[in-house]
Amino acid sequence: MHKARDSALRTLAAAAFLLRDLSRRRIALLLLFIVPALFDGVVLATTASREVEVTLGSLVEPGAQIRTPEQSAVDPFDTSLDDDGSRRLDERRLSLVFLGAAAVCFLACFLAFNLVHKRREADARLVLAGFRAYEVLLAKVAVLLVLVALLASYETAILRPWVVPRQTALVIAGLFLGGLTYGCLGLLVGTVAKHELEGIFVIVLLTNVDVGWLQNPIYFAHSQSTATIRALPGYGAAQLAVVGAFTGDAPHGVLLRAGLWAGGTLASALVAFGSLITPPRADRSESARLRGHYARVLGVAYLLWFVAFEAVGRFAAGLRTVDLTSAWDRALPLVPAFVWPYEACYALPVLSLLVVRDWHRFNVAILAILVANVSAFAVYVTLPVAFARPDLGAGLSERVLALEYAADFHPGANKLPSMHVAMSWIMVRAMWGQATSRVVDAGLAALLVLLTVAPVLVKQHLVVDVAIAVPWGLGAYWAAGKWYRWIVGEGESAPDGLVRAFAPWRRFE
Amino acid sequence: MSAILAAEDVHKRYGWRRVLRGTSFEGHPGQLVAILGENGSGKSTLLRILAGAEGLDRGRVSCLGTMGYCPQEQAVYPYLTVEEHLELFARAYRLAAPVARASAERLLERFDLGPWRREVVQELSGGTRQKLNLAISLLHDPAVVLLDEPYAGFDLASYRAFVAWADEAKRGGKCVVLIAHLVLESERFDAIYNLVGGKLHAQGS
Repeated sequence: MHKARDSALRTLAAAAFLLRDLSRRRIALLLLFIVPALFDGVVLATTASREVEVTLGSLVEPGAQIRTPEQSAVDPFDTSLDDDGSRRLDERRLSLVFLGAAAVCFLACFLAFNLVHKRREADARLVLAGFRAYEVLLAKVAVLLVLVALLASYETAILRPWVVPRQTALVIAGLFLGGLTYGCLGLLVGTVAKHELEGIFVIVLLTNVDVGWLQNPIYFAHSQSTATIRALPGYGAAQLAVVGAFTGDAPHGVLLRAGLWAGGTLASALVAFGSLITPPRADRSESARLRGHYARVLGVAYLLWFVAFEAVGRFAAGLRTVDLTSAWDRALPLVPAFVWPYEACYALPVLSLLVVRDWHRFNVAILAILVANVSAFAVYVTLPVAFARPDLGAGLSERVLALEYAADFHPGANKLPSMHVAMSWIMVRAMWGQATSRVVDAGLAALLVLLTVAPVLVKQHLVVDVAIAVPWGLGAYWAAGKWYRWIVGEGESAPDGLVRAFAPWRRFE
Repeated sequence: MSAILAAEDVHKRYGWRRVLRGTSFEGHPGQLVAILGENGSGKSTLLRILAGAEGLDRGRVSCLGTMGYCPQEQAVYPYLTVEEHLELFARAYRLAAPVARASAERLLERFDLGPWRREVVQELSGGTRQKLNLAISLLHDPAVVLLDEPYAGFDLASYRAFVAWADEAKRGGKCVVLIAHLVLESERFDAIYNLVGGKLHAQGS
C-alpha cells in the first residue's frame, strides 16, 4: 500500500516538474494560444459564407446511427435505408470546425514532441537514479492528457461565436481523441528523431497532409480513394468534430475508430519511449540476453517479411492466374476447425525463441526463410494461382476462416508453394532436438503434421502447393546451412554470425 | 580489499564496430581511478555499461554500493531551474526531505551554484550546466561515483573545487572512476588506465 502511494506521489511530482519544464518554453505557450486563433482568423478572412455539399464519411460507416427508429424497426440490416452521408453545410463554419481539429492535432503533436525531445537523456537518467520507468511514462501521459484536454476545450470555446455545436460533447470528444492520437505520434517522433528540425519537419508534414488537407469534408466528397482517407489517424477527429458541430447523428463507428487510433498510438509511443528510458537489466543471464536479442531480430524479420509478402501478393494478384485444383482437392472436405492449427503457424517463430538453445541454428532458419521466400516470390509472379473458395457457415471457426479469406489476395496469389508449410518445416527443423525433453520433439512432430494438412483442409491451399512446399522448406534449410557454415567461422558468436551471414563482404572492425 | 565495482570480460559491439573486446576492471573503496583513451575508443561506453545505462553483449558487471553517474552529455531538463533539478532527483534517489535539502545546499555551495539556483538550465553557461550535471550525480552521497569528463568546460576555480571534492571523496572511502582525455595531476590517482583496442591497459599511478 505504502509502495503504491509512494509511486503515485513520485509520478505526480514528476508530472508537475515536466509540466513546469514544458510550460516555461515561451514558444510552446505562444503557439498554444495563437495557432487556433490564427487558423480561425484566416478562415474568417478568406472563406465565403455559402452552402456547399459535403460528404460526411462517418455517417455511412457500419455502426453509424443515422436512421429513424421506424427505419431500424423495418430491417436493421437493409443498407438501402442508409443515407449517403451528404449534407449541405455553410463553408465558413465548416472550415472553422475542420481547421479547428487540424489546429488541435498540430499543437498536440508539437507539444508532445517537446515533451520528450531534448529530454530523453534526462528522463533516462531519472530512471537510472531511481524512478521507475512506468512512473516517468505515466507522468508524460498525464501531462499530455492535460494539454490535450486544455486544447480541445480552448478550441471549442473560441469557435463558439461562430459555431454553436449541436453536440458539444461529441465535438470535444473528437478534438480530444484527435489531439491524443497526434500527441502520441508527437511522442513517437520525439523518441526517434535525432534532431529537432527533422522532428518538426515530420510533424508539419504529417499533420498538414492528414488533418490539414485530406480530412477536409469538401475534399473528401470528391476523393477517388476515400478508403485511404478513412485509414488515416486524423479521420476520426475531423469527422466527430464536424458531425458533432452540425448534426444530431451519433457515429459510433468513427468514435470507436478514433478511440482505437488513440489507444494504438498511445501504446506504440509508450513502448517506444519506455524502451528508450528503461535501463538494461544487469542481472540478465547470457541466454536471456541472447533471447532478447533474437526476439528483436525476429520482430524486424517478421515485419520485413510481411511487407515483402504483401507487395508480391498484391502485384501477382493483378496478373493472369491459373487454377491448379486437382481431383484430390475436390475430394478433400472443408474442415473449418483446422483454422486453429493454421493460425498457430504465425506463433511458431515465437515458440522457437523458447525452444532453441543453439542460436546458430536460429540464424540458419532465418537465412532459410529468406531463401525460401525469395525463390517462392519468383514463382508467385510467374505462376499466380487462384481457385474458388467454399461458402462458409456461421460457426466461430468459420468466422475466423472468413477473415482469412477476406485478408487474402483476390482473385488469388502467393499460393504455390505454400509458405505457411515451408516456413513451418524450417522452424521445426531448427527446433528439432534442441529441447532437453523428447516430449517436446514429439509435440513438435504432431504440430508439424497439423500445420501441413491444415492449409488444404481449410481450403487456403491446394494439395500441390503443400506437396511442393515441404521439399522447398527443407531444401532452403539445407542450402542456408551450407552457406552459413561456409561463411561463419568456428567460435564466432551467434549475433556476429547472423550479421556476417547476411553481409559476408564486410569485416568487423 | 574486495572490489566494490567490477567488470569482467565485457564485450560490446555497435553494428560492425567492436568497441569493447573483453574489458575487465576492478574499483575499490577509497580509490580514484582515471580511464583515458582516444576519441571513440569506447571510454563512455564502458562507463555507461558500468553505470547500468547500457547493455553489454557478453560479460558481467557488479556494483556493491550506491552509485552516482554523471554522463558526458548534460542530461538535464532545459526549462527547470538548478534547485528544481536537485529536488526532482532527490525524489528519484528517495532521499528524505531534510536530507535532500541539506545535500542540495552543500553541493550548491561547494560548486558555487548558489547564485544560479533559481535560473533555468537554458539560461546557464556551459560550465555551470556541467556543474549541475555533476551535482545531480552526487546528491545522494553514493559509494561509487562514475564521472564522464566531469570537468569539461570548468574554469580554474571550478576545477579546483572538483579536485577538492575528489580528494575528500577518496578519503571518505568512495570509489571514484572518471573519464578524461587528459589528466593533469596524475599523482592524485590510484590507478590510470588506457583504453586501447577495446581493452584496458594499466599505466600505474
